[in-house]
Amino acid sequence: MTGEPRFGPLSGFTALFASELRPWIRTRLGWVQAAIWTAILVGGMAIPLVALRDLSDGAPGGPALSATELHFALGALVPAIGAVILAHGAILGERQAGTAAWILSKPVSRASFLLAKWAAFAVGLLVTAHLIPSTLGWIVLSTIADEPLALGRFAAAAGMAAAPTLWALGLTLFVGTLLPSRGAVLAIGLAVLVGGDVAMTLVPALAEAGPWLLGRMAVVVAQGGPLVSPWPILATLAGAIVLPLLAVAAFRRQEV
Amino acid sequence: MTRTTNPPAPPAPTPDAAATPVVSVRNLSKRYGAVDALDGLDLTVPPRSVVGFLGPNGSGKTTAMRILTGLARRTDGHVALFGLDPETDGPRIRSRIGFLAQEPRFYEHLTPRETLALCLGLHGRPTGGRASDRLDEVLERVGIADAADRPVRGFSGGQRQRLGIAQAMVHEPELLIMDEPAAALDPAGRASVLEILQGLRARTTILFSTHILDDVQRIADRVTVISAGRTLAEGATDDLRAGSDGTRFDLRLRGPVAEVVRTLEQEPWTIGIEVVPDGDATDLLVTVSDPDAAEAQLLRRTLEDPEVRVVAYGRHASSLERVFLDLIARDGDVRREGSA
Repeated sequence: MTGEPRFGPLSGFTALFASELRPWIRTRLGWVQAAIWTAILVGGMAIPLVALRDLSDGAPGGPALSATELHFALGALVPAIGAVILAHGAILGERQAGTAAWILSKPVSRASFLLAKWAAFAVGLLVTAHLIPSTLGWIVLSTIADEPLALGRFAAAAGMAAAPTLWALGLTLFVGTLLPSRGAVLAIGLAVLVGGDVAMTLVPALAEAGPWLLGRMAVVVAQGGPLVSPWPILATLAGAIVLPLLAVAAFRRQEV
Repeated sequence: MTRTTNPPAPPAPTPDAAATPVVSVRNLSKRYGAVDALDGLDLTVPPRSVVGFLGPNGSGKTTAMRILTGLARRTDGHVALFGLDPETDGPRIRSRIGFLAQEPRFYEHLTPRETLALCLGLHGRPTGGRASDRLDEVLERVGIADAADRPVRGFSGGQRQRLGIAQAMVHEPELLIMDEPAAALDPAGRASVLEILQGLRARTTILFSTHILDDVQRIADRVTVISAGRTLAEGATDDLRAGSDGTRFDLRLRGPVAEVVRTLEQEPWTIGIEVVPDGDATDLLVTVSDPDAAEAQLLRRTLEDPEVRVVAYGRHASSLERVFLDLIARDGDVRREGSA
């Protein structure tokens, strides 16, 4: 055997992360997810492209503009909802199945157990729900517009649309660590994501504190407009980091 | 001719009870709301010992084992494994132990080979190359080599238990903590588990809980008996079986025994002698306060009488089941008196 392994706050992370990522790579999960998200985010663009083709009458923007709006509006919200649905039972399911206790009887820290899940979901969804659909979307839109869209701006917009997914994963893990009911975790995650839009109309400051405005901001950036405010991006990324850490802090005090 | 009630002693290294214990638990308590799952538990596991952890259902065995592995937190008391605290040094401790839960659970989509590879990975060990030989060896040893590449879903209880044992020992731990390792197995499986544990004892300290007292009697050199979260008795299996009210030696003699009885009664280590005539022989049941001195002198003093022939001689031991039931009954009486 090899030398003495090191034990720190992330003991066992590498092996667990590889194990969590394995289904995305070695089973149909990755392909199925990629197909679903491509169908929604790229296939969805076909609606304005077909419906507005005759109305646009060759005007600049037209269907391509609407398709871009749809792509990023959906891209900032639907994968985040998907993240909540996919991850809502990640912690609770393992606790109920007894596998959490099994894994944590190994030299694995609680932080590794949670963060490996967060990281695997994040990588899986960033690739299948953002990287692949955005790349295909850029190709389709560039083809429709008869000239390549500005790749840097499109990539920046795609990044902005991806941030809510990371935030939603963090939120789901955090709530999943605190609550003993999968239904409650799912309901809270979906309510926060979908209800955020409504809440912003009542409390405008919320727009700066979370991911709810990022879809609209991504559309503006993709179309060459300015970044209205950095705060929604910063707040969302901060949440994507802080929420899993809060989950770790809560999980450390719990028994499995 | 020698008569003995002890079963053949297993070939094992002698545990050194005086050495720094691998597991040291003192006055451990664990409270769930108003329920005391553990209430002042003491437990010592010396290096290279096999310790049977006995107690009725709900006595706190599983809770204690979960605290040892860091899965549960203690309410109060002292717990150390290898001198480290499981609440602050969990991963370091768990790198040196193997744990088998009462109902082992695994990722259902993984095969046993993948499960063991994951375990090695979690222990920071390589999973390819020579590790593959180790996986084959362990799978063979626990008897699931033929199912090594089938997903765990669909496994029987016995197969899961065998995989549980495999995952606990695959990284060659210094300490094995096993909660009812033979519970889900048929008699043949149970025998093979005991054989595996026997094979491991040369280099691994083992703490295992069980309801099967015969298993403890066969392989454990120390026993801790608990009830209602408290330790009732702790010590070497033979000492416990010999009883706490003094060790007894049994002599079966032919010829006049009166002089022998008189001689033995004068020995400082003799507590009492029961004389039981049986046909042409007489049984002397000699209870002693110092077993070592008695062992050295009792037979010699008896043979000093030329008119007496010793037909059988041996140190008496109760079955562990008898000792266990007595301890539990006595504890029940104490509790009833306390609550009256």
